[in-house]
Amino acid sequence: MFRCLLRRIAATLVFAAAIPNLAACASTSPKPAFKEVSALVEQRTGGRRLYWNNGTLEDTEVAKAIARMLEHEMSEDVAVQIALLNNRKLLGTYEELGIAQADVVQAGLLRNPTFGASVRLGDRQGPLPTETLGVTQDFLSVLTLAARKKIANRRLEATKLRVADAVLETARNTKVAYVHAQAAEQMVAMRRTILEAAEASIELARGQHEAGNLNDFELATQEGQYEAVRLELTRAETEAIEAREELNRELGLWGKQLGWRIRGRVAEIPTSEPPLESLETLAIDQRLDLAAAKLESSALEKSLAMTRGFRWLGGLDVGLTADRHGGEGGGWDFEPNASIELPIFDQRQAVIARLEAEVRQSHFRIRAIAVDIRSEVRALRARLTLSRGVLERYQKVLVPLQERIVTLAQEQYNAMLLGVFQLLQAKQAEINAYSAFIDAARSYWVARADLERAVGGRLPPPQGHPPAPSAPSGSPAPQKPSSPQQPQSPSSHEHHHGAS
Amino acid sequence: MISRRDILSSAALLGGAVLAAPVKRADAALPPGLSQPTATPRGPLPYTPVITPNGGSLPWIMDGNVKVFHLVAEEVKREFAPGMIVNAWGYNGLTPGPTIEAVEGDRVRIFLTNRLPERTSAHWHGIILPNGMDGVAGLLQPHIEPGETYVYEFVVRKPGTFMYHPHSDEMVQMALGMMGFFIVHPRVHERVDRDFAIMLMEWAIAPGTARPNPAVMTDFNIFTFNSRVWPGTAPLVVKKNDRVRIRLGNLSMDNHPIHIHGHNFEITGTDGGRIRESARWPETTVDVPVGTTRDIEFLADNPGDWPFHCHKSHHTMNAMSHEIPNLIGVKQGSVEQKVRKILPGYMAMGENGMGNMMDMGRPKNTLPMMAGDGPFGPIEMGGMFTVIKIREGLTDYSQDPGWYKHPEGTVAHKVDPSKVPPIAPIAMAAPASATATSSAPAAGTPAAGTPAGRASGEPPPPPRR
Repeated sequence: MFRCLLRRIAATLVFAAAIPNLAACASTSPKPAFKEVSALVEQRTGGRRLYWNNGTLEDTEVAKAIARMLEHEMSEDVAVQIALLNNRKLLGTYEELGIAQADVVQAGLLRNPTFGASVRLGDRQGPLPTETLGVTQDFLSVLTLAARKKIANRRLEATKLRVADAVLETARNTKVAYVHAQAAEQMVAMRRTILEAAEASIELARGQHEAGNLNDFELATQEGQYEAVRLELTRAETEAIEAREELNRELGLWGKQLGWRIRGRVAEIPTSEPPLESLETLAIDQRLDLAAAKLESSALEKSLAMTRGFRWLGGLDVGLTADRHGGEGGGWDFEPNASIELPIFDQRQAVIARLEAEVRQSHFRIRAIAVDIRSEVRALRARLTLSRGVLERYQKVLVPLQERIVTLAQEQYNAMLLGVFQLLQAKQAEINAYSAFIDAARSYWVARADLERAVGGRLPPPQGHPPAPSAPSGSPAPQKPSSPQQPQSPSSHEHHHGAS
Repeated sequence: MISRRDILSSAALLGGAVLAAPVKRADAALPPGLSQPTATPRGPLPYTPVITPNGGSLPWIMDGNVKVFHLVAEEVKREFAPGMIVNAWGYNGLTPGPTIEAVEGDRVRIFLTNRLPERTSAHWHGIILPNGMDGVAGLLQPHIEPGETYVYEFVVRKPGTFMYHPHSDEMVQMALGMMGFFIVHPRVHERVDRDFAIMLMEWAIAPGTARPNPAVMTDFNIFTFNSRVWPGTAPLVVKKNDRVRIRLGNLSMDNHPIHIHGHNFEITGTDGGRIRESARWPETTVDVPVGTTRDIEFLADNPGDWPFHCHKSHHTMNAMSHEIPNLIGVKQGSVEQKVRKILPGYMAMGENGMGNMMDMGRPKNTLPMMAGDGPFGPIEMGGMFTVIKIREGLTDYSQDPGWYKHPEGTVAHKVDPSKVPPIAPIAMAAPASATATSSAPAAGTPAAGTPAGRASGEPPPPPRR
């Protein structure tokens, strides 16, 4: 009978000793998890690569690749790619994978056994053993091992989705920063042209004053208007610098990497939108934060199930004690033992209640996210459609109308029916209309980036480009964008002199 | 621009043929006397008929001893000069309406059919007549509603140059061109060879539009002789030694000092009647006040092409802005380059005056500010400007005799600078300060009447070449 028990305990101990070997199957390396995230992101973003600095030669290669990308005029695609490779906040997020992976490993490890030893000094001739050796193992952790591993794995899966979601967020932020930077550069160009018109006006007014044709009051009034226009250029330049820095932050650039160039002109919008009807469903299917929340919820459910399953089995320790009587030479007596927690006071009801509440809470969270996603998608779809409408109104009606006004003003000027100042004002109004058009284009692209983000992936690719209205004649050509730090050469204003 | 309808009715009534031209207007409830006119062939008129340049006289028929006229108030399209057609209101297809001619003592019966979109009336300006025939709607008669025809009948007792115009919403209707001459010839014929009637009028027609704006009170931009502007005004063709009368009527909102070149004239009449000979004096300019007529007469003894125009210089311009910035004397070279960068078609203007302007296009239905080509170059005129063409041995008044051929040595010409005599300094009159008492100029402003920047009394600057 005793032998039998002894054998059993020994077997258990051997089993327990074997468990660390089983657990070793789960590596602490988060690389496989990162690969999965990478694959997911590639699929969602249309082939964008991720890289996680790992202190190898590869790091240098990636740095070189980024440097190469920065040499040329940077497209939006390239900007997003650089951000995914280089945004330090994003790279920091990847460490979440390491943390979750380590949790998985941790879940697969058994609680270490406890070893105890005691020696009785003094009277060696009593009935009590003089030396006692004992080993105790928490047996509950053995029983719950599989369940804990499952929970940890679900959490890892959720973390992968969260990390991939963070990647998509970075991609969205980069796109927005990119189009802001483009629009800001274009606005500076527009403001510069308006300033040129104002400079011509003020020079004429000063000439008039000198020739005795304009009084001090009228000249001072015009000087005031001119100064206001000058300040508007400074304001636009400030905005351009801020927009550039916004992009620098997303791209994680500093130091010598700051000389990048982008096309200083907001891209034309596609002629048509992808079908927008099924986007809500698509978003519910695709959104990674929703999927992550579901996994987290299921991990919680699993925890609850496990806790319920072992609610009566609190502490369960098994152990083996070896006693020796009479010091050296005395024989060892083995005493297998087990202790069990009696669920008299704590029957895990509090823990279970807490977990139950957490599970319910997670369900509400999932539903709340889903409701928010649907609403976001609807709002963004409307924003996209409306900003397209505004943009097309500018493109098809307002900008051509302002161009026509300039032509008519010029005609009136030619017949001496209109003064040169009014003619220049008409030109300024035309440029202002074009600026509003640029602003509408920017809103469109931001709405598009937000919508892509809201559906958790790419929208179907654009169908084609409509001809955008050409920039007002005399405005700086957009083909030579430059960073605000490098002032534009005056020669760049001389393009685009279409007959008006 | 005479409408087809008008030509038809002229043919019917003046040509003497029995033609039912007014029947074309039967829809407007015509008076029975006119729908079946009995035109009587007439012998020579007992007076020299009035010539209304760019217009004509209203035909009449006799009903017993009554001269019967028919005016139709209606919308008309009037060409002010080639390139500008105005949506005006007038009578019988014309603005000014056709000239009504009668003889002292005639009984006239004038039908007025209203084809305007609003009610109207006709006032016979300057004519002495029974109160109820004076045409002031509301006060003396009901308004004539659209589609209605009214009849006026009275005896013209006094000769002279009179006018007719509405007295119902007259601000709008006159601003749109509703006016005409009513000329009463004296029973005793006074010898005059050429008798012209020119109505003075001013309009506000924004460049690029065709409709006069009746809301404008002072800032007019088009000034017309018989609703035509130079170079659309017909010349006044005259034979040498003709006695010429020009009747001027003014229903605009400004006085117009009308000036003749090469002659003196006398003012012989107003809308109050003839002026006694002893009260006349020679003039070259007659100021025609608002709401009056002036007759001038002269002997055309000086052959040539003589301008006849309003002496307010803006009144001899066509459409122009009165608010363009003053750029005279402002150097624009570098600015022009700057503006061209943003407005490639831009050309600086106004630096050295406004004459000799290149025609670079303008809004539709808009005339150039100054126009007309003469034998020596651009005439640079517009508005109230025409030419009296006086020729020897003229046989046909209806033909434009072309430009005057000057006798040898009678045209100003350029000379060799070396043959220009030196310019003598001007001996200035007594210094202004010696006589000025209370009218001393304020500090910092140049003294009136002296060139800028030079105190009065100083010697004049050297002449500029």
